[in-house]
Amino acid sequence: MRGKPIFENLKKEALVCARCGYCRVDCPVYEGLGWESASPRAKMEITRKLAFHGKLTEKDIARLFQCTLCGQCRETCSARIDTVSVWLEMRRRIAAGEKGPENMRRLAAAIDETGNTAGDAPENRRLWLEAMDDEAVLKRVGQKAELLYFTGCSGALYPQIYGIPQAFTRILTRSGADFTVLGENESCCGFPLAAAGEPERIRKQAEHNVAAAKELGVRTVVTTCPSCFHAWRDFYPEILGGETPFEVLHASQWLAREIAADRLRLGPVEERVTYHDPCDLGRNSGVFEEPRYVLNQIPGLELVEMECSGSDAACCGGGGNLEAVDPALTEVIAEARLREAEATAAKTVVSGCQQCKRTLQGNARRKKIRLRFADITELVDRSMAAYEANQ
Amino acid sequence: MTAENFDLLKEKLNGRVTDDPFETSFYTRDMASFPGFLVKLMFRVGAELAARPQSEEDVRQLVAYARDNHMAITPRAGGTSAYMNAVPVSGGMVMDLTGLSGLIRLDKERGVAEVWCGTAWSALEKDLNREGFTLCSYPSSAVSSTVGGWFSMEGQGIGSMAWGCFHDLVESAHVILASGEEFDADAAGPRPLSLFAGKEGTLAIVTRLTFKVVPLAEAAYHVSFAAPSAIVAAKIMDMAEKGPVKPFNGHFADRTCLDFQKRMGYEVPEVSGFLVTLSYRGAAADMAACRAYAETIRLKTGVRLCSDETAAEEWEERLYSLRIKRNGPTLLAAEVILPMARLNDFYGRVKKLRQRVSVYGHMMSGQQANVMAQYYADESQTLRYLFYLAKTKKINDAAIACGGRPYGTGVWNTVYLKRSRDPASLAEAREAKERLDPENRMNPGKFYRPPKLMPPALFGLACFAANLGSRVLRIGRRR
Ligand SMILES: Cc1cc2nc3c(=O)[nH]c(=O)nc-3n(C[C@H](O)[C@H](O)[C@H](O)COP(=O)(O)OP(=O)(O)OC[C@H]3O[C@@H](n4cnc5c(N)ncnc54)[C@H](O)[C@@H]3O)c2cc1C
Ligand code: SF4
Ligand code: SF4
Repeated sequence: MRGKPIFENLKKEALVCARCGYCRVDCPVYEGLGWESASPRAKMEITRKLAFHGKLTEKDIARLFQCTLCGQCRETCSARIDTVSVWLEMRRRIAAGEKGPENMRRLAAAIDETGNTAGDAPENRRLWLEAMDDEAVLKRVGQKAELLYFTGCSGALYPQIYGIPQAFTRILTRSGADFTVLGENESCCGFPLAAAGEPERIRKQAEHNVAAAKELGVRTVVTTCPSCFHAWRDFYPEILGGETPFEVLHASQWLAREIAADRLRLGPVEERVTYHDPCDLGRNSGVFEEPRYVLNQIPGLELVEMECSGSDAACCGGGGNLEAVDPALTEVIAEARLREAEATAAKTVVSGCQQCKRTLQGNARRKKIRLRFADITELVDRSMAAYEANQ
Repeated sequence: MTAENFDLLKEKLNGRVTDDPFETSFYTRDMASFPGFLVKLMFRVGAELAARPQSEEDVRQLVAYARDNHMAITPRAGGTSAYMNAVPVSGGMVMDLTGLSGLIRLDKERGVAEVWCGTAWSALEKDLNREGFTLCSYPSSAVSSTVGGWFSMEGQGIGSMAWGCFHDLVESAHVILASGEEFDADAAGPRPLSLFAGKEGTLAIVTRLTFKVVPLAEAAYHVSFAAPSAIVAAKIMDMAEKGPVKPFNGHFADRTCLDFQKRMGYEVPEVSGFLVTLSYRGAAADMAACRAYAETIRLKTGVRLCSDETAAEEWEERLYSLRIKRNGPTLLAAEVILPMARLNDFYGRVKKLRQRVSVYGHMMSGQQANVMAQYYADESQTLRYLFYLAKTKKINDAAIACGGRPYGTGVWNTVYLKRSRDPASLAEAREAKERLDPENRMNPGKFYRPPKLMPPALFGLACFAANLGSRVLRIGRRR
């Protein structure tokens, strides 16, 4: 479809909506719940209520927060409405009236107070590094360098995710990159604040992180988390009123560049894998090609696509802070995606997002679905290790 | 309805039926925007129950429940119709049929598919493509509208130029009457398929359909012409219809339609009259003949061919006519069936509306087109909006004067029934309604008669006054 999605204001978008229901067909939340009230078309109707009558019921609000912000509805909207901006603005208006879900408010407060989504002490951001048991890596914390690896809250604070930042750090080390990490000085990127309806609070995070990166003379910021990537690339310049002095890359983009320049040595990984496009990397940031390029460069690896992939890819269920308000719905959405992955007969589901991996892996375990899960960095790490072993 | 038997129903449907007013409220609107006060004044919009059957057995349970409780049933699918066709106006139960979805069976040898009624066209096309097959025709709302919805409406759209009305492609349909009786309706028998086609859910619930599909075409060819006038546009369509290979689809858009796109920032070709696009599909060898015939059309009509990119874009955007809506933000429309020979006459009448009206049409079988005349308005200015609304009557009148008629009936177009339908077929339809649904519980308030509070004479008078007012107040001049 031609034309860029547009967002002017709530009133305008509510009027522009034609109620055609195109947005409904691929919405994972609607698919999961089945009631018309759970569809994006209904969310537009709720938007109309707020925009013209200023009042919402608790049920209206609950439906608005039952959304992964996956962007499928924006992709299919026949009237080219930037629906995700509508949902974010609605959340903002609701949160401003202190009517948002309790869990969202708690999450926003935790980020504001502690600088992370878990409400942990900042020093805990070093734990994944310490667990690597590599003095050389530890020494890089807070050092001046060309490249900053911005770990993000999930990678830094959730032990089941440690594998991703550890793998990427090993890749960086092997490649000889001049890199640093912020350690305890890293603060949440702020992305979850937008989903919680409190985008104004992102400024504090943006200012802190940008200042920290500038202080280390960083030129390139690389993230393994698509939401951090989106925040650094798209939110920060807007919030801080101008370009930030960094090139911002997702790890898959950095890997693609290094592989193309022949700077990474890859060995065989004999495995059939399928790639799950994270919504915030794919549809919401436009990065589809690089992860596939990287996977296709790994000798022995067979990449098969799921029925819905690229800009059509279904959500894992973990976006939009949905898990905080409706974990059962996250499960339903994750299961649908897992069934699609299962149908490819791939052994491993690869993604480029710690949240996607965590959501899919957790639900596969609960549903006894026999699939393995890996981040793209973990596969490249394995491939590089295989190369070294063969030398 | 007693609390116990409702609880029992809920249990049988695994919670997929509700009397929660929050849930039911979302089934009370369709594509059209009418001022709330007007709708409230005229109808009892809303349902006591909303149900989401996922199997034929679910439908049976719901129909039995409605029968035992003397409840109206409004079948609803994609909800993409615009005349309140799928909006409950007599209370009762609204039955969302989109859960009955999917391809049941594909008989490749006979080229027929059996499909659940709530299957969306685009999803079905994907499933068929995987099996090497494709649809003969589909509506231009294919992303969200359904197989059962189109069968229940008029069934003209993309592909109709080659394949005619969808109703004629259907071999059989499984129907469930309000009484609970169910059967397969086909071409023969005392209650044939034709009885249910296009009846907008007022006779029965159609749960599944078996209809013609074809193997995927080897190749496609799209060509666009810049026709200077409606007369030439009609001539191109006439030649295309009579050519060596019938186009799969033919559609046209006038200059205003292109201007509306341009206002939205889309690049459009320079066309003084109509952009006419023909889409062919078939064997690769046939495409060369189509190309050659397009050249013959060009030479005989003296028109200019547009670029291949224009033709390709016209095809690719065929499901996205609503992308121009933002300029309104309301886009009012009258959809009519029109003999192509009278397109020029119709166009002349529409252009006298004292407001810019875009004209867009799809070829149907034979020499007719399904024409959409659209113009901008702003529904947030309620009083002015009433004047804008009245203009649709002028467009419908123009179509009737040109030997055409409004497309689709629902509630709003019942005021044109006497002028637009032949009396014998209307009497036949009413007789069938009385016979098959004597209690008038299937989608009541639609299709057969205008609402009591909207007799055609009063409606005509109100529209006349509003249109006179529009003229004096110059409403719509700037749009
Ligand atoms: C962008 C756009 C383009 C369009 N293009 C076309 C076009 O090319 N051709 C065209 O004909 N229309 C077109 N329409 C109008 C509309 O989309 C079609 O009429 C469509 O077929 C309606 O299908 P639906 O599933 O949305 O049905 P709904 O709107 O939900 O229902 C339509 C009618 O059918 C009844 N119904 C639905 N399902 C069943 C069932 N299973 N059993 C019994 N009754 C049922 C309902 O009660 C109602 O009366 C267009 C609309 C839009 C928004
Ligand atoms: S963003 Fe995704 S989950 Fe949210 S309404 Fe749109 S399609 Fe549904
Ligand atoms: S696709 Fe767009 S215009 Fe259509 S109902 Fe959804 S939001 Fe509204």
